[in-house]
Amino acid sequence: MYSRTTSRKRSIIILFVIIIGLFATAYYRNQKESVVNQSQNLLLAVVSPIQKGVNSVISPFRRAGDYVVFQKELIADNRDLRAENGQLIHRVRELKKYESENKRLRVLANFRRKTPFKTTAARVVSQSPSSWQSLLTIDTGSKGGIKKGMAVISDKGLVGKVTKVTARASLVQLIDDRHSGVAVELGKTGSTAVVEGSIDGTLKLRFLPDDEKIVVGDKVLTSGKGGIFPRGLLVGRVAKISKSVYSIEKLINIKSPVNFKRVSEILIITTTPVGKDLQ
Amino acid sequence: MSRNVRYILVLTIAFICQATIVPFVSIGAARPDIVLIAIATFGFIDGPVAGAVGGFFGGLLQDLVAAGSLGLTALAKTLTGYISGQAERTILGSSLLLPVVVIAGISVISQIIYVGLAFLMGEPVNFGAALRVVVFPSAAYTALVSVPVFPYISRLLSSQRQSKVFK
Repeated sequence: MYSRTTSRKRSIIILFVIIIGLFATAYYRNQKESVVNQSQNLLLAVVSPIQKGVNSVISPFRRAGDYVVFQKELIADNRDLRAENGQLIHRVRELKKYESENKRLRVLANFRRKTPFKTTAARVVSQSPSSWQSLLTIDTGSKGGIKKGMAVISDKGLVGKVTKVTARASLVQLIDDRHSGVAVELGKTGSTAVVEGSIDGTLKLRFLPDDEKIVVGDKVLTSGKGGIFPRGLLVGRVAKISKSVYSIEKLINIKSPVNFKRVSEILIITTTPVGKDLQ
Repeated sequence: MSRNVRYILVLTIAFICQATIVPFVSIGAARPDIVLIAIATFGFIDGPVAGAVGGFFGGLLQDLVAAGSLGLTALAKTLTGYISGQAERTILGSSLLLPVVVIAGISVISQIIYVGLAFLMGEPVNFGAALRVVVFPSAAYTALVSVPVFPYISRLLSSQRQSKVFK
């Protein structure tokens, strides 16, 4: 009986001691200057550089270990991402191409609405394979209502005329072809002349009256004479005027606003404003 | 594959390349003449007759897709093929430099013949500009393109005559 009471008392005392100890520890922990806290700080100050050093030595191995473990996964991811990246680059290129084509077609469509002529649009499929000719092959032929001799224009100005027609394709002789001649008039004075193409691709203004006052920048338009090109189409502007020792005629170069090497969509004039078929 | 079929195939492929790829790789008015490289190779391998026949058909094909006088290129290329045939057997087997230089020369001759014929037919021709802008730049370009193209055509056509194969 005695021993049971003593044992219970001892247990209660031990429990109290533990509780007091816990409280005391908690108290000292919160005290900056406490022995526990100071010991803890001292320990951390000693251990942390060692931990840092060990970590810096071990971590590459750990990363290498991770790399070995996930290498296959990484290679697969990399392959997938590369493929995806390639597809996206291709897609962006495609979209850029469509964007620029869309812009060009929009300009051409606006021009088509404004122009007084009835026109048919066509796409350029090839340029001339020979150095001696300046031609375009377009994707519209007799089935699209195209006939030989029809005038070809772009939103910037005169391009040329149709010289050969098949069912689904046609050849267009550009105005810078050496066989090409376009009856023109000067925008300022109305004097008539002829714009001829040449081997080097420059446009020459010829047969202009000697006394004609002409300056660089003057507009040159089709005169409508000759029955192929309707009147008023922009051929170009005077770019250079010089004198030749071999000729009494002035040498006048015309600069076309159309870049014949890069033209990709054109309009073929099928009827004049009064509805008269050009051919 | 028979020899004639091979010749027709080479000429057709050369013509298709000329009509489709060449316009996109032109530099100014200078364009490489792949049909001419093929014709010159015909001449080098089989002599003047093969060169002339190949030249006639190659030139005719080119005339048919152009808007100029029909037959002008055919005649120029026939003469060119015949001239290249004069170098039969002497060109092949040598280093690549000799055929390339000969092709450049043949290209100049071919284009001068073309311009001369055009002039005789009454077309306005500025010889100075023609030489400066078209003839010499195109000849140089054709020679450059012949570096990879000529050995290929040569091997294709000479497979039955190994002694003549360009190396």
